[in-house]
Amino acid sequence: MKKMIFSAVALVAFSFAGMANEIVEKKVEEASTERDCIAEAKAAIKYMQFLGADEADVLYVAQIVRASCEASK
Amino acid sequence: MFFLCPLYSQINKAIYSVSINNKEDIDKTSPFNSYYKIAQENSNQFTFHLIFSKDSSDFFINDNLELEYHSFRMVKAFSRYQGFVRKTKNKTFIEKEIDNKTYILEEKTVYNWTLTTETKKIGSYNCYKATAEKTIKNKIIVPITAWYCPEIAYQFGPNGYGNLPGLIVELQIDNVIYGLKSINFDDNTIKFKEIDFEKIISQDKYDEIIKEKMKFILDE
Repeated sequence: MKKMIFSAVALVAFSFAGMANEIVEKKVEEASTERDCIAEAKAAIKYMQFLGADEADVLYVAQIVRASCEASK
Repeated sequence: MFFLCPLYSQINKAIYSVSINNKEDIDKTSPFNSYYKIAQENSNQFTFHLIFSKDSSDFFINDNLELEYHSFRMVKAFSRYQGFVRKTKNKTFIEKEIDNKTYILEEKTVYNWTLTTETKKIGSYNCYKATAEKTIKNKIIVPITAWYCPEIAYQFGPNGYGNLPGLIVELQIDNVIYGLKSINFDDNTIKFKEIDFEKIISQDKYDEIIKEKMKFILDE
């Protein structure tokens, strides 16, 4: 589901970008500094596990880290 | 469905507080330290209850409904709380809740306690120190220190720890300390929770569920 949502957002961004070269250039710039949400979620999992969190809480934090990262894009 | 609910004449209740202390080897630059800080700042708003008889105990966090959900989850996560624990003399069961679904796991960990002669007075009780180690999944060794009181001749304690010759009144799991706040003996208003053992699953099956949920979050 997240993959689909993420793809849909990317498609919309691409369509808008296709309207003008200036926008394409801007998107490319943005892409180069884009956050890696999967990496952030993985880092959160590692952090929680290191501190002995229960699996359910590890999942909870990984989910909110991923979601807030995606929302910030 | 069948339920297991121990029936014993004398049931007691101990209330514990938790303190989440600073951890030396934590990555001080981690962006997730804010979560840890939330847990530290709010831990004093929670209590943990141990209902115990001679043969059985229930341990659980007492939900503080006034605190917002995220803070509750952070305290739960960083206090090394495993979930509701039913412990008998020979078996330990832990209730896990994932996405509003409850699973019951049988805890197989056996703690090899080292009993020492070191003593400490906690409240009016003379307590003895016992130490053990727990290895968690990712191979991290966690030191455990328990202060148990033979004067309270029950072999239980917080978070499923026990099998010592007295109630554990203080338990340190790495940087987290559970401390006894109050104790109430022979209270006939206290009851053990009814447990639905039809929800029991194997550790392998549970690990599989966790793995699938992780895969979903990580798009794997």
